[in-house]
Amino acid sequence: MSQNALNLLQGTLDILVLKSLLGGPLHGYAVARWIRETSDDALRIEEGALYTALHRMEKRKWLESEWGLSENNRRAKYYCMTDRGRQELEAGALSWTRYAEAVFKILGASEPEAAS
Amino acid sequence: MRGLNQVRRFFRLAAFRPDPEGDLESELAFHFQRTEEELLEQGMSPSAAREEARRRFGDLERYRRELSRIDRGTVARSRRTGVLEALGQDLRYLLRGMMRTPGFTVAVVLTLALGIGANATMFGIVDRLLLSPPSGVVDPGSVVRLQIHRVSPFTGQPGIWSYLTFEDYRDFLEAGNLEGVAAYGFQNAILGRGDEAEPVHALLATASFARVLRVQPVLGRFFDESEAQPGASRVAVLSYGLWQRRFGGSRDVLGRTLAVGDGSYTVVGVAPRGFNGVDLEPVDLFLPIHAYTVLSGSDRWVASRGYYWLQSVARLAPSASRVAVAEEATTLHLNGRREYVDRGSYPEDARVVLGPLQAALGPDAPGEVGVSRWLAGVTLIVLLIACANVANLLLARGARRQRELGIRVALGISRRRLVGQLLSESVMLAGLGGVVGLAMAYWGAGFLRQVFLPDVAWAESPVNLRVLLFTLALAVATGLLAGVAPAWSGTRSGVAGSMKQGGWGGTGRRSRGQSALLITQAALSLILLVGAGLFVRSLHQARELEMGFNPRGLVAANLTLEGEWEPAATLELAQRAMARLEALPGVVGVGAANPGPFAGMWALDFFVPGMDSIPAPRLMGPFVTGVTPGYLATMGSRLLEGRMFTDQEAASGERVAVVTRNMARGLWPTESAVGKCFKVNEADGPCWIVVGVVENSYLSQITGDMPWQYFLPFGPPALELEMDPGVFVIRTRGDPAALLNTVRAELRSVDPAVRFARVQPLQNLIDPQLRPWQLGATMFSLFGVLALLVAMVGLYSVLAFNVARRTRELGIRNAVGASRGQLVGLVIREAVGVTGVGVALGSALALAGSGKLGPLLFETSPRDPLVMGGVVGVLLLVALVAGAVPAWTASRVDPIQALRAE
Repeated sequence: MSQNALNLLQGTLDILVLKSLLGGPLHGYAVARWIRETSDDALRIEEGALYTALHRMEKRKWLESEWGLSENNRRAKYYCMTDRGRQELEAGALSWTRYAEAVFKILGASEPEAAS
Repeated sequence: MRGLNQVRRFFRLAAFRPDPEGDLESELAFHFQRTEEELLEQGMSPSAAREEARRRFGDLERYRRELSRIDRGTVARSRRTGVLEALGQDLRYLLRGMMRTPGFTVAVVLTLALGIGANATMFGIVDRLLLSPPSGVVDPGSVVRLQIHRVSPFTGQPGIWSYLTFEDYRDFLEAGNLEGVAAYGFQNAILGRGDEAEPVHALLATASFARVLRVQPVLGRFFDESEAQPGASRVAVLSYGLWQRRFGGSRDVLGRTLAVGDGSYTVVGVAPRGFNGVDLEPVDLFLPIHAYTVLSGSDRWVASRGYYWLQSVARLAPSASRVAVAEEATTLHLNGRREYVDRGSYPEDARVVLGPLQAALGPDAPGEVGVSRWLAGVTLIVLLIACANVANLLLARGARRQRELGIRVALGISRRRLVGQLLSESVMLAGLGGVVGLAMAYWGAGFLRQVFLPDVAWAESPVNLRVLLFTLALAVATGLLAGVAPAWSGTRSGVAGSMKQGGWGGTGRRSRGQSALLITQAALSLILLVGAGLFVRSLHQARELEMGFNPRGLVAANLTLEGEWEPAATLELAQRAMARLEALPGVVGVGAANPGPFAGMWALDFFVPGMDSIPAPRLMGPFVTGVTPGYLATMGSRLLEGRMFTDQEAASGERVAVVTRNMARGLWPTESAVGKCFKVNEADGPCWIVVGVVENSYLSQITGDMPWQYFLPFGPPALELEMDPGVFVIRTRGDPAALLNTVRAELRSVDPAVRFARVQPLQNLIDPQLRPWQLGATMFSLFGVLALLVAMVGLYSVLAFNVARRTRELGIRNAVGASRGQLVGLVIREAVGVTGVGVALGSALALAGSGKLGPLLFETSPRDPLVMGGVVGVLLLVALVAGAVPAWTASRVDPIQALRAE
C-alpha cells in the first residue's frame, strides 16, 4: 500500500477537494475522510497531498480559511469555498467529465481492423 | 473569543500578527489527533493507530516543508493587500471619528484653512512677482537685464537707459558674448477714435526684442529689423488680451489698420497669451521703437544721451561669462560718455551690471514687491500659530482619549500603526483645511490683486497648478507638524498607566509641551501685531504727509489732441476749456500746469547772475513748471513771501517767477528771494524776476527731500521755452468723484480736436505710492488679528482644560481655606505668565528683525515705542480675557463635588 492507486493529476485532486467543500466549510481531516469514504478508499490519496491542495488553493483565493471550533470543541482550521473556487470547480468538473467520456467511448468501441 | 473579536472589530484592529508556522502545526496536530481517535475507536492499539495515521498522511517532513512554502506565499500576498485594507480601515475610522465630534473637526479645519489659505494666497502672488519667469519667454535662464549702476549723488533708476547709450555697445556686444541685445520702453497712447477710443499701454522695442526673448507669436509675426527703422512703415503687434478684448480673437485682424495716437499702424501679429514683455505691468500693444517719435511728438530721444526712457535685456551666448559681459558693457558705456566723464558730470565708477530678468528681484522693484515678500513670511507665521493651536487641541483631546488608545495598544495594535493613524488623522484634517484654504485663496487672491496690485498683469485664475501643488505639500507638512507631538505623546504612556489614571492623563510633562506651544503663539502674535502697527503708522504718516498742496477735492484732467498743435494754440484751447470749467457748479477754482502734479519733472539749464554754480543737489532740481496764474492758488500752495502772478503779467509776457521755499533758501540764504533774477537755457538770456515764494511740494515721489521748483506763467516767454498747458487741476466743493463725468463731457466738447479726456481725482495719482503701506497695513492687521484670535482661543482652551483637570486640587485648596481671589489668581497667573514669556521672546525677535523692515516703512522707526508698548498691552489684555472664564470656573469649584467626581 505504498503507492497511490492512481497517480492523480494535481488538477483532479483540486476538483475532489473543491467538491468536498460544496456542502459547506470543513476542516482538513473531514475533507480527507469524506474523500476516502466516498471513493471506498479506492483512490488511496496521501493525506499530505490533500493538505497541499488545500493550502495551495487558499493561496490562489479559491478557498478561504477560518479558525473555528470542531464538533468536539477543539480549535480547527475550517476551509470554505470562494466564488472563484466555485467557478474553478465547475470548469474542472466539466472538462474532467468530457475527458472521462472520451476515454470510456474509446474503451467501449470495437477495435479497428488491422491493415495487413 | 467572540467577545474579543467584537472588541477588536469595534476598535478596528487588524487581526493579530499572522503566525503561519504555528497555524500549520495546530492544523496538523488536530488532523493526527482526530485520525488516531478514529482508529482507536476501530479497535487499534494506540501505537498502531499512531503508525497508521502517519502512513496515511505520507512523508510528513516533505509535506510540512511544502505546506510551509505555500503558506509563506499566502502571507506575503495577503500582506500586500492588507496594507491597502488597513489604510481603508483607518480612513473609515478617521471619518467616523471626525463626524462624531463635528465641533472639534470644524474648529481644527477652519484654523488650518486660515493658515493654509493665507499661504496659498500669498504664494500665488509671490510666485508671479518673484518666482516665475515672465510668461512667453523661452529659456529665460540665459536672459539678463543690463542695468547701469551709479553711485550717489548720481543715483537714479539703475535700469533706465538713453537710446544713444544703448547704441554705443549694441553691435559690439552682439558680436561676442551675447546672442542678442534689445531695448524697450513704455508709452501710454490712445487707441481708436471717438467713442471707441481707449487708453492703451504700449511697449516700444527694437526688432531684436522678440528674438532675444524667443517669444513666438500666436498669429502672424513680430516686426523685423527693417520695420524698426526711423520712417519705416508703421506696424503693430497686439497683445493677446487686446486681441481678445477689442477684436474678439478674430484671425483676420492681420493687415487691419489701428489708429494709435496720431498715427496709424498695420497689425502684423498677435503676441502669445500672457506675454507682457519682461515686466509686471500689462501691455496692450507692441510697437517698433521709432514709433516713439510719433507718440511722444518729438525725436529728441534719438540723439540725446540725457533722454532716459529705455530698458535693456540681453540673451547670453551659451559660453558667455557674466563677468566678461558686464566688464565689456561697462567699458563701452563709459567710452560713449567719455566727454561727460571728463567734464565731471558723469561718474567714472558707473558700472553696467547684469540684473535678474524678474524685475521684482532687482533693485528697481516696486515697494509692493518688498511688502509681498514680507507678507509671505508673515503668512507662514500665521500657519505656524494655527499649527500650534491645532497641536494643542489634539494634545488635549489625546489626553481625553488616553484610555481608548491604551486599550487599543493592549489589543495588539502596533504602536507604529497607532502613530500612523493619529498622524493620518491630522494630515486628513489639514487636507480638509487645504481644500477650504484653496477656496479662501481663490477669493483672497482676487481681492488682493484688484485692490493692492492692480498694475500687475495677472494670469486669469488665482489658483493654478503651482499653487495647487504648493497647497498640497503645505497641507501634508502642516498635518505632520501639527500631529507629530500629539501622536507621540498620545501613544507614549503604557497601557497600565493610562488605565490607572482614569482618563485624566495629565502629567507635568504634557503641560510643559502645551506651555511651549502657548509661548510660541504669543511670541509670533506679537511679531505680527508689531508689524501691523508699524505699517498702520506708516500709512498714517504717508496720508498725513504735508504735500505742499492740498490734494483733497482736486480733480486732474489731461487732453489728447488730434494733429500737431503749436504751444500758443494749446494755450488758447486751454483758456477756453478753463473758462467753461470755471462756470460749472461745484467748481471753486481751475488751473493748468506743465508738467502736472505727479506727471513728471522737467529741468532746464539754470543760471543765477553772480553765481558760478548752483548749489542744488544734482537730481533735486531746480525743476521748472509752467502754470496759469490761478494754478498755485487752486492747488492750495501756501504763499510765504511776495505775491502770485497776475493775469496781466501772463498775458503781457512779463518774465516773472515764483520759487519754492527750499530753492529760495538754497540760492539766497541770507536775503529775500523776491526781486532776484535768474536765467534759463542761456547764461546771458533775459532775467526772470522772482515775485513770490511758496511752500515746498512733492513733484513726483512722496519720499525723500522736497525738490527745488520754480513756476513760470504761461505767456509768450514760456511758450518760447515750448511750455504749454498739459494738465488741468480743478478744485471742487465736496466730493470730486461726483464731478468727474461733468468735467469729462465739458472737456470733450471744448474742441473737435479733443480725442480723449482723462479725468480723475488727483488723489489717484498719489495713491499708487501709498499702496505698499496700504497693502502692508491691511494685510499685517488682518493676519495679526487672525493670529491674536487663534492664540486667544488656544490660550483659553488650554486654561479651561487645565482647570477641569485640576478640579480636585482646586476643591481641596478651597476646602483648606484658599480664598476665591487666590484661586482666580492661580489661573490668571498661569495665563499672564505664559503670555508674558511669549511677549518677552517675541519682543526680542521683533527688535532683532526690525532693521530689515525699516526700509519698507514710511517715516516710522521699526522700533517705534508706541507700537511696541501698545502691542504688549493688547497681548496681556487678551491673556486676561482668555483667563477670565476659566478663573471664574476655578473660583466656583465646590470642594464636596470635586472630591466626589472621581
